[in-house]
Amino acid sequence: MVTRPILVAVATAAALAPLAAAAHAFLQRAEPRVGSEVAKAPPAIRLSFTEDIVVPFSRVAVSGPPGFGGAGLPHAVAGDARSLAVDLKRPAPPGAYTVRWRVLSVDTHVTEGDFSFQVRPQAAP
Amino acid sequence: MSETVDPALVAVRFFAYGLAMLAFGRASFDVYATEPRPGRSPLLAAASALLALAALAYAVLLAREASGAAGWPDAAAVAMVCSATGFGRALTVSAAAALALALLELAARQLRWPKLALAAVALGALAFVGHGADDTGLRGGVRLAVLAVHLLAVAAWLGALPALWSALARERRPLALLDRFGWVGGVSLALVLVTGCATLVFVALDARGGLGRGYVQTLVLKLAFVGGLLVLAAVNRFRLTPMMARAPERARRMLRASIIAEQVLGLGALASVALLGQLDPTM
Repeated sequence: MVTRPILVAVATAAALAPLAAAAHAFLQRAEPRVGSEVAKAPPAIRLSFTEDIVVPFSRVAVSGPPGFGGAGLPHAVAGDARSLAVDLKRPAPPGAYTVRWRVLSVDTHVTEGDFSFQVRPQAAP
Repeated sequence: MSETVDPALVAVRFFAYGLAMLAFGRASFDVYATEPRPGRSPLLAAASALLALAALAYAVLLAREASGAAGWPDAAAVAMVCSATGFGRALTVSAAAALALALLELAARQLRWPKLALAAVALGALAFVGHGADDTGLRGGVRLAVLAVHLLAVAAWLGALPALWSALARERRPLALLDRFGWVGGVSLALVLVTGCATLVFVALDARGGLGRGYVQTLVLKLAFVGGLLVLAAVNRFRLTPMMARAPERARRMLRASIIAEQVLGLGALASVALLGQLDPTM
């Protein structure tokens, strides 16, 4: 008797599948890429997650080589509720950078993690 | 990447959902009961007042979790959670509705429909707190609606059991009451099954078919509790309710014992749900 409504509900939920999100916010993409080596330090680091996040309660700490000027506070990315960005202060010299993140997702859960990237030394002219 | 489960959050989630379901179940029972209750309901007033406190405590714990600081969060952090996050606003709405319900119950014995509406808001708002808010757009709206209906249907069935247990002790026309409860319970059960399956599909799709072992184990535990509830509900409906016509006192005694067993199983299912809400389905 209730089998048909159940099948309808399951089919409806499945039909909405292409818009799927993931449960809890995990890092999906970063710019610069996780573990990458870039020729020049970017002006900002952008992190994109698998779920919408609450930026005011999210934190990003960036550590770098001696001489690195640090990073600003995380800010929202216009039109993208799953991403945040931090601006790098100058100078951002060549060397290894580590990004530690801690984000609050809209489903109340806090997740954290870290990744690194390298800025190559400038080739001599 | 790492993720931890805070036992305090699981506990406050258990109490918030349990109290909200109790309040909605009591308020809905008052709408279809065969005899008006003799006075104000201490259960409804207390459950609503405690729900308001539980929702506030939930917001405080989430503010602590969100800020990541040791110790208790300051008032500014709590206010920010309540105003700047969707789940914080939902908890605020739930607490406000619960407080209004408690005050209304203390002020007036009647007004059953306004009380039911406030209880529905207090419970339905909790759908926005947790995995129900995982999605956005059309899918997010459908998922939230499905979860809200699921909560209301569970509450109309299990949340009304204490009121039914109490009413059966004094009811002069128990068969009529059981008929009404059976009808409401049957519709609720159908909705619970449909919306429960749909919610599970949403969770499985989010996990892209890869549900984690801990999540599955907790889910199986919950389904075991639900299975026990279904068996007891069937016994009540198809065995004990008909018995009421030929051996009323025995049937009344056995029904009340069965309702207590149902509530114990319901608490088990609720505890599983409180934990599921804190787990990452993929872990």
